[in-house]
Amino acid sequence: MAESSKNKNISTDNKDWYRLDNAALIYPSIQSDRITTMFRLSMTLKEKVDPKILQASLEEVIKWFPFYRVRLKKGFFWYYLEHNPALPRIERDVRYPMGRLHPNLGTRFLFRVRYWQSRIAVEFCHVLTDGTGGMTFLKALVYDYLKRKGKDPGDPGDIPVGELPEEAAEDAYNRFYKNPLPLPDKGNKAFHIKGKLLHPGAIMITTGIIPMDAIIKEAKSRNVSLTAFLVAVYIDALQEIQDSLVSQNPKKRPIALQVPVNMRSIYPSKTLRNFSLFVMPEIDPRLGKYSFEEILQIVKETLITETNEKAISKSLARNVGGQRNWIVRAIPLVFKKLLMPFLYTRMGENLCSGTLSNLGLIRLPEGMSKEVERIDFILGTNPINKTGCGVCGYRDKLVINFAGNTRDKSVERLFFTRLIKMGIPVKIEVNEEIKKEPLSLKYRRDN
Amino acid sequence: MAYCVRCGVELQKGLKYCPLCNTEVILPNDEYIEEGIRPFSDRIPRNVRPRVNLTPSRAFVILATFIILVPLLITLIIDLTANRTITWSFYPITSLVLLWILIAYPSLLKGHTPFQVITMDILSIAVFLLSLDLYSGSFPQWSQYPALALLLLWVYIAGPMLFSWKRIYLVIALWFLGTAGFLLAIDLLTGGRNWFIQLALPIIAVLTFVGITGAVMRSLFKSKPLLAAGITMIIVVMVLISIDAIVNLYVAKPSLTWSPILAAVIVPAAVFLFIVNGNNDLKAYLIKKFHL
Repeated sequence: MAESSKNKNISTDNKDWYRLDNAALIYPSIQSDRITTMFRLSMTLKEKVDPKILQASLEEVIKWFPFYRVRLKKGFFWYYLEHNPALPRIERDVRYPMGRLHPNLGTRFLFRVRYWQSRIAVEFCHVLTDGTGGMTFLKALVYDYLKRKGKDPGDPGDIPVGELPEEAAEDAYNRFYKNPLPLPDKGNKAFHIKGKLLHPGAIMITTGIIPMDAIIKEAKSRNVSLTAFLVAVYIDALQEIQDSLVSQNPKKRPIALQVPVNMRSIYPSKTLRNFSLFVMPEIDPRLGKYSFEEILQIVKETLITETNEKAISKSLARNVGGQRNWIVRAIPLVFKKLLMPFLYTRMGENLCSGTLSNLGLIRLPEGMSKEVERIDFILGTNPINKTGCGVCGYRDKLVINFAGNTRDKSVERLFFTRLIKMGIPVKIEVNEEIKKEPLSLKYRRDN
Repeated sequence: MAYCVRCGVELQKGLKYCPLCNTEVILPNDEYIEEGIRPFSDRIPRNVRPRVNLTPSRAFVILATFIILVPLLITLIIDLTANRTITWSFYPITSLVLLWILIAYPSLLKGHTPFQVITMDILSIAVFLLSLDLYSGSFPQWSQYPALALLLLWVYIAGPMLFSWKRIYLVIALWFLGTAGFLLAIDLLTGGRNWFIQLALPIIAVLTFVGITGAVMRSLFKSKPLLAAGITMIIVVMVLISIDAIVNLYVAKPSLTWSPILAAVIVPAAVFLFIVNGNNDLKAYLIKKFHL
């Protein structure tokens, strides 16, 4: 309070602190060098980025998003977000993005803006927001940047160009929570890819760039949505990996994918903080090998039956109900912190074999879309699932980013070669080339 | 445009192996492999652990003040109603005041340095101990010893903080003066048996000399580890002999008891190191025979 009232640049009308929203509650306690709880969104422009203009844009745009201009603080019972009087600084991009932000220290922002050549990237800690909120921020930033560069980005449409209404900062989970509902199924421990983890912080990104019309045509010919199609391909790839590792059916584990659902499309909320939940299409290979068509059918039906207000309100009730429980509330944060990692593995990561998050087709104003070449969405990794898949479409391209923390790229290989076999062309890019060991070196060591 | 012959995917320019299946990329018609625009920067930032700020906020100090005030008032009132004067409550009250100083001082001081905070903390603990001793009867009974020890601790911490490790000679000199002063004070307080001049001072002087030599050697022999190790061993022997001699001189008569045995072990080893340092053939032979 004292700090903000001293500094005349900061509007005292802005809310000074925020409760963590329901989804964010768990992240501060579980984040580590391996579980960074970050995700990344980037726009590749046609021209090289001017860092000075980008910094000026960031300083302007962050004023419209007071709920992102925060640092994480410890209360006695819960963490909370407090207004950060400092201004965020842009950074040069790195080879291994989405490094840990140390939000626990309470001095840092919970996001960073990075630039490299013609790319502007924002990396958000999940405590702040989900993919939709992050994308809105990135759009606003790039829109302002282009304007400052003297371009004509066109009519902003839904892109914020000034102070946002109070509603943008609401905890929508709490608003749409209904009194006790039956709890969702507990779920079974799912199959996880094995593999030696890279050193903490290192991350292998494999990007597949696919012509939009080709993949849409394929999904349409099978009468499913694009998300369902991609999820089915992913599950099929994981099934092949499990089949190669475990020969006996009874010893196999279910293969389930976490597919985030944007709750803003179900509930009428305009929040730019977290507001998404998961559905989990699942196959059980103990019952035998599934054909691709069978998987497609299961995924399609799960996505339809689970992605509606009634079905999703069960998970909402469980999550928010837990947070509202008086006993849970009265436990001091010190003890809550000890329990959270256990809950996270037990109720989250253990139950799924991977995550596929589809941001959908990103639409930009006409003037802006002339300047933006490509949009990427990358998910952070965690040591249990090892690989995450972020999908987003823009103009005529679909960009699929796999981020993994092992050297093994079987999932990526099986996923993309399946698409190739269906006649969908794929272009591959990586952040680091895994070099084969030169023969000469091997020979020397053996002798 | 390159394609992986095994996966069928198109590959980013400049890749030598397919990232998915590790198959070598073959471009028979291309004269040279064009270095394409890499999708990611090659920068790997140094992993710097951010500093933790331990200073509590002013708001926390106000909260702590009131939390501390409540037990303080309770003890005071109970003691006053029962005894009409302060008796036992002196101890909890002074403890609580000390606690308050330790918590509040850093945040009340504008632009404080860690040095100021440590000085204030050590000083207040020393004053606290002296006050306890003073209150419990004949002063000074015991508190002078921990108070002096705290002072010495402060000297040890303050040396590097005031002069920084770059001026290590000043730090060593300050440590010497501090230790000597502490031991002299203990000697005088315990009845002046004069062990300081005969025993403590020579030993501290020897140790200070070793410290200075070590600092000099560190800068001189960085590239010659064998020579440095040999000289260190000789210095250790000299220190052991002088400590042996000083102790014997104080106890009885000038003689050496245990140090020659240690010298017999260390000196030949040091001489061997000197020889190895000067003889390249021997060095190579030893590396060959004993490499790990």
